[in-house]
Amino acid sequence: MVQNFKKLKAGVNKVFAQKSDYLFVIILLLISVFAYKIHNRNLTREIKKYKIIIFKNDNDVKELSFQKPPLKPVEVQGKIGRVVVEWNEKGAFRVVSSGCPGQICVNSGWIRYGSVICVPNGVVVKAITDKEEFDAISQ
Amino acid sequence: MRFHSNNETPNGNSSNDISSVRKYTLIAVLASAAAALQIIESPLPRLVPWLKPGLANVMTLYAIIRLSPFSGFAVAIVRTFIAGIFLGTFLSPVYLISLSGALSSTLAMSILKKVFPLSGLGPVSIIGALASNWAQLTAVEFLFSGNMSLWLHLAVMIWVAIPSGLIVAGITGELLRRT
Repeated sequence: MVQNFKKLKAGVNKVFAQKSDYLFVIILLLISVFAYKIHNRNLTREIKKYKIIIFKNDNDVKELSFQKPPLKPVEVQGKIGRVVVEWNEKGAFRVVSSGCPGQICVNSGWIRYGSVICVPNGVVVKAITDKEEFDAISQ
Repeated sequence: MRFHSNNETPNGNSSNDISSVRKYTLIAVLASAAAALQIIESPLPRLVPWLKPGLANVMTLYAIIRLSPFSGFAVAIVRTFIAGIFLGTFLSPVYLISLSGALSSTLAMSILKKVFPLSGLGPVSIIGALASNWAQLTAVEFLFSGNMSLWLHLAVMIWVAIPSGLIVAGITGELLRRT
């Protein structure tokens, strides 16, 4: 027992004195791998639901909510025309056609995270994720 | 050259004085050597700002093991001071970052050596490298309010700290064997 202790004591000034030292390095490497996995998991967002919000005027706001991307295109009546929204199989969405002069919403193309807005029609199409974050806060 | 922290001489009274003088001289020598290492190391090219072996840590680790954790802190503080003056970064953010790294690595290494006295130099030095990296990152966040992913940095940091810690441990082991 005493001899064993002396042997251990003699090895203290080596880089690796005991088996547990190797274990320590291996545990650190494992922690590194787990930290990378946690980092990756924090990056990916999951879409919880989709919303179509229609602003007719200040008092009349309608909201359509979908848990899953609808299979058929959804057509809604906006302020000045009809807006057709469609989803693809990956969960991205776009405005197919809109009765507005600028066609900015149609030209936005496919959107996965975020929203497409048609201002003249007062229509907002939005994907709600599990981690809602603010871009910036202005006071 | 041979240093002993506990010098045993026949007359008991003066031995204490001699050993304390020896101790402080050794601290001074170690601190100046560490400062020289840090100054030499600073202009070397490196891929990422924090990817450097941190050879000055050799002297801190040596002081912790041969003398005491307190001496380790003395070496760390004096060496950042001297290196800061010679590199022209004294009291600048760079100096504060370097000081925080040196102090926290000394603290981590002394705690690990205290809790696991039989562990080898490798883990102690790796923990020191990790702590210094972590403290420097925290200081950067605090001073420049950066926005970094801590998990990603932990993952990368470990892969940097292990080789640099093993280099430092190897050199310290050789130094301890020879003196």
